Amino acid sequence: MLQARVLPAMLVGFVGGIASGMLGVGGGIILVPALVFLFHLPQRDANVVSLAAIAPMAAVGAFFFAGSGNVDTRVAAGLLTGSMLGAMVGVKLLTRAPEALLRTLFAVVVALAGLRMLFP
Amino acid sequence: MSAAEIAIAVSLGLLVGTLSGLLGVGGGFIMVPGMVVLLGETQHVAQGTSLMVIIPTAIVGTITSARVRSMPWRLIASVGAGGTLGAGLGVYIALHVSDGTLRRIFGILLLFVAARMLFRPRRQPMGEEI
Repeated sequence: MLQARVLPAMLVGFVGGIASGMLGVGGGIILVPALVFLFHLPQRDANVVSLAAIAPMAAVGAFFFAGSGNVDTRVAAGLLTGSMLGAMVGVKLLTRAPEALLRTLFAVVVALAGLRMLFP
Repeated sequence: MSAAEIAIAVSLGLLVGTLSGLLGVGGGFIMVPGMVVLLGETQHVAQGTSLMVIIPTAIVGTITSARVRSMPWRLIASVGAGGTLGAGLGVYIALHVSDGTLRRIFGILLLFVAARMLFRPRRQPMGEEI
């Protein structure tokens, strides 16, 4: 079943990747809704797939930004200390949170991100 | 970096990581403005640093997930493969091209997505399998 989805999935990734590299974000804001609406994944599964797919995308972006000297390693170290711990907590919450709550939370975050893109 | 700045960075990271694991996002949309406003980074350095932080955060989140559930690796690999190509193009746009128009397109797209998620909920899925 999933084989037929390889090309559409790559296309979804491509659009998410553009947002990721361009804006310095993960791209999950694009990936998750695409997986929910186009691939009909439950919200929880979409979040899990998105997070896993984000890692290689961010690596490409980080490589180019670092090449042009646009990474502050000390600040990155501080952020990482918190964020890796947070990621474990977040995933634990994800496995317990109800679908409807996940969906509403995500929609709010998407709306905020959209507003920020329109009014930087 | 002062002790206060380290504390700010770690706290910001904790918030971003939790959202990241919970919602499957990188969290850059919070990290980038957070670094610009709270830590005085330039926009480009904030974006580069954000991407750098997202890599291990997403890996840790994914490993945590993989320990408690089965993962649709084929779908993940497809999305990730397309994503790496898109990311290259996105960075090129960020560093060499004016990104105002694309930014507005993404912004409007996201508002539609948010509205649809909030006001037209999909039927509950039959099962959790992928």
